[in-house]
Amino acid sequence: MDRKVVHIKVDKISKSFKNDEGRIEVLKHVSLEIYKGEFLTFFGPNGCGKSTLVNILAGIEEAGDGEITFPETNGKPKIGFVFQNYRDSLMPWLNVEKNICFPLKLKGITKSEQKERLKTLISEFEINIDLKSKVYNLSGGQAQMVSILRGLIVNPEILIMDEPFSALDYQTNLMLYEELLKIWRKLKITVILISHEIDEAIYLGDRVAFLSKKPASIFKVLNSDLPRPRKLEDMGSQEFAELKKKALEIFRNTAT
Amino acid sequence: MKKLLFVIGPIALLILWWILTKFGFANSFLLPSPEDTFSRLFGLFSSGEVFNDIRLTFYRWSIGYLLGCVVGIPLGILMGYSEKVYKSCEFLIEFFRSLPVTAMFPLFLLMFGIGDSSKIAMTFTATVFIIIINSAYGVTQTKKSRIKAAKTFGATNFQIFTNVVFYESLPHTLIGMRTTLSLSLIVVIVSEMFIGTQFGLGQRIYDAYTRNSVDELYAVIVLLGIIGYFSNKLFMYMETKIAFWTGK
Repeated sequence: MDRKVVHIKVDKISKSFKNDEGRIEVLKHVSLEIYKGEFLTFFGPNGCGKSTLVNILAGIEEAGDGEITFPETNGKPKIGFVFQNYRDSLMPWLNVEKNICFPLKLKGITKSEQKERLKTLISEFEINIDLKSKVYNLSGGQAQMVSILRGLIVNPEILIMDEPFSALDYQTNLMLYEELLKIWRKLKITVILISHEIDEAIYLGDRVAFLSKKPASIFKVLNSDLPRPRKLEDMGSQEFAELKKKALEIFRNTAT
Repeated sequence: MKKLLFVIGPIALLILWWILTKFGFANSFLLPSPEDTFSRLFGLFSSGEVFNDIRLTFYRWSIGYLLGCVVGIPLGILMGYSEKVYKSCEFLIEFFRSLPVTAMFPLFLLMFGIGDSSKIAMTFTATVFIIIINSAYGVTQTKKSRIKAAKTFGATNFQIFTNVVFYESLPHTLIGMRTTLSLSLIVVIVSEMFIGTQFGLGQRIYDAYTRNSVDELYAVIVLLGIIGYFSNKLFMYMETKIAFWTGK
């Protein structure tokens, strides 16, 4: 993989919010180059502004200062988004199929084409979920998988995931890590994942970007150079332990 | 077996009623026996004399109620959508909602005369404010995360409204519709008794009273109870079909 192609250039992003006590700075001069096709994880303390950062990346929120550019693409690339809370971001009045196709519906794409795209997507990843079932009847893992598929249905070049595994149990997470890495390998898209689990951040990412406390900036970027394809057992390896030790050191410095 | 438990209460009440009248515990002028009451109810149907009353009461009820819904739901949704509109109208809506519509019946008489329109207008008024409040409340309860999701996928404001907000508010709207369904029946009956009419279940109750026909009085009350009960049950069933995701 050519790592040198910059897909997203984050240049001195700052953001502050007004609240009762005045203005609160959430992000301060966040700068980072995100490479095409890489799996980047953001790691940082809770409430440090990780979500604000990805919201700005996804274009839901405006940056107060600084800019985000996409040197490789003309204009803004297609972005898929997976939310933290699948229960509150899926639409319970729609079944699995219609939830996944929801972004297509909003774009005014015909029903037959929606079905066509869904079929392609499903067959690509051997998804074993009944398309007609109600989303509230799914297990947490299945529901988040639906959420991921909904993010992928638009054929995104970038997939942004905001703590997608934080509401699920450990067992389910391990299963979804595998699925996610499989998807990423196959689609070769850029994935940006926020995490507050250091194991997860190291295991999934090519690089882990550490955010400092509020106002957040990039404190350090750690190369997680475990060989690919990774297996769950790798989390028990010597290299993994080394990386985690490094990460903890960085994190200890962030926290103080 | 548990499914049949609901009949125990009514059966117990009937037995109690029967004992009270059979053994002379109750003044038979104030409380006729269940046999007399139900045979009178049966008589009202077999002679067909009650059909016109039912028809006209239903007519006034449904027109007033449906108008209340048709006007109230869009207003409520619009109100809930904008916090400014909500805040500025909240007092007025709460004020008129708290005002007993029956207290205003002379006003309705002055404005709409003694025909059907005044009764329909009263029913409408009793319905519309509660519908507005419930629909508006439903909209304010919309999950921010779903709106955010839709925005992320590039939804326009109108699409957010039709694809998210409408569905999110639907369960609350339906609760408002169910509450007002019973309430508007009460108002129709009272308006028929107060304002007077040729046919109508309220009028029939009042006539039975003036004729000292107590068993007919009770018969019509029982009939109204049955109508109220089944309309409510039917609506609840529809609610679970329409807003099937509620509470899931």
